[in-house]
Amino acid sequence: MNNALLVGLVSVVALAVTTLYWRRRERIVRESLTVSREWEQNTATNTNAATGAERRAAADAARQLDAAVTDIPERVEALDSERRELRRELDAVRERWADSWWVSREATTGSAEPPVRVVAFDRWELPDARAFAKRAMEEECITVVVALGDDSFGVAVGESLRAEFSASEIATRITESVGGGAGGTDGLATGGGATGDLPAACRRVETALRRSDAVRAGDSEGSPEP
Amino acid sequence: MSRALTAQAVVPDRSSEWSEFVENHHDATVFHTAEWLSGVETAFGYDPRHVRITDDSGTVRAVVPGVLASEGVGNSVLNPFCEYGFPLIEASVESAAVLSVLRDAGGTRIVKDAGWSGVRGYNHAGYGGVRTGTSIRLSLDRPFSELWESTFEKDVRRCVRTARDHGVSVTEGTVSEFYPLYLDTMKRLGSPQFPERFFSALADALGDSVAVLLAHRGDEPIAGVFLFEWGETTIVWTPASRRAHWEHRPNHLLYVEAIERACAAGRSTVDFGRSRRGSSVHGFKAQFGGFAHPLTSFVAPPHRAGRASLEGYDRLSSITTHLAPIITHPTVGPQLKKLIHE
Repeated sequence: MNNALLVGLVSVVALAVTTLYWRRRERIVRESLTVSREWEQNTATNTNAATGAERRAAADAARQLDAAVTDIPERVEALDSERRELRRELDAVRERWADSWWVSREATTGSAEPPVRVVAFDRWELPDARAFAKRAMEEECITVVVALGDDSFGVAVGESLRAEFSASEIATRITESVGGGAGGTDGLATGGGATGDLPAACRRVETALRRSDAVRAGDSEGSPEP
Repeated sequence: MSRALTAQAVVPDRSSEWSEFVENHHDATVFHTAEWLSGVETAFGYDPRHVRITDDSGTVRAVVPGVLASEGVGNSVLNPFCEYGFPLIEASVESAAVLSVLRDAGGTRIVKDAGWSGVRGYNHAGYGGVRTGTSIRLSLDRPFSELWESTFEKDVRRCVRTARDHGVSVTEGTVSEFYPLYLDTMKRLGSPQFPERFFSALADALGDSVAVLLAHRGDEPIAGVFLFEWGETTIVWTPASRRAHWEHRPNHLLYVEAIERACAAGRSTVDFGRSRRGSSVHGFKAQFGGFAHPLTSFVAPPHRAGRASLEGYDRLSSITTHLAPIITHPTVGPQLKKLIHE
């Protein structure tokens, strides 16, 4: 009887262990085959293997980029390249404007005759000179900004001085001395293509303007506010 | 390719075919080289099970690295201590056919693969998969200066500046200088260590394809990294550091120096090795940019997939730190490492 009970118990335990073993084995097989099946799907290179969500995401991206789905990598590469170029350009602009602050500070500090100001920047180009001159139009003085990066310049004349002085005429006087061309309005003019010594020519024009009675009169009228 | 494929045993370091095949294969890694495999066998005494797969004309169509590793209750054939043990297969051959030949060779075969390898057909060939983490790979498709400015996270730049401000500098070092740092790290983690002779054997066999970088503060080495600079890829294999010096950020500086070296040498990829997504190590590596590729070990037959799982080791990590003196004992550590083979 006892032997029969023992055999029965051992059989039950053996059955339980065997069942657990096979259940565990079945679970491992199922889970691992799921992983290997997902691997095939995720590493598939053809579009048939992409899920609906992936296809929709690709279509959305293509629409945003105004390109075909197959052109996405090329468009993204081009945009990335453009982004990097713009970043470099932005960094260069920041440096130039940092320069400008210091140089213009020197140009205006200690000047005995503020209505005429000539500032020159080594790395600047025409767009920088034009932007600077445009802002300088708001000041009641004559500003000549020289961009040595491409031998161009800009001239700005404050509104109260435009009855006596024309920015385009001043620019023409500069190009008569150093070559190139210029054009603009009484308030704002730009020029480029100089072949002579542009900073020296601008200084000569500055001296000539300061000898002008009209400029001196503008200077006295523009006395500091209390 | 419909020709019948057969597997034959091969000794890589005595076979010019193996080296030639590996060198010419686009996806080959240092872990496929005869030098690596020879180093593993010599240092740990594994029984080699490398195979070449040939077609009926005798032309080699694939090579598969593997050694027989005992796991206490059984044996498995795998490429130990690395992330990549996948077969290198000629482009014209169906990878599922190669995997089937390997499976039919008998025993338990573990194939470690990564998302970028291009090997497919594991499911078709009856392999079960176990996810083992991710490897972050940084593509060097732009100059280092651009990586520094636009790819690395701001914290990387800050930490590198901190390291330099604190007087940390990086130089090339030797295995004997690196090993004490490595051993300290393994003791801290409670993880069994490689014997020093393994590093030395790899450095001797691979020559210029191995580099040891050391971060010094003053005269004291405070961190180091063992790099494989093989082919187009730099693999950051075993970083090591002293916790007391973490505030000086030597690891950030070492990684950046490794990346800069790879850029200067014209390599295409830096591989930061395996980590578990969500872990602090993964977070550290992710700061340098790059793409996380899933790592999966494929096992045939699939009911033995548990042998490739690393989950058990992760669960034990809280206990092993307390057992570090035993685990990293000069006699015990390398034996445990051989058994764990990860």
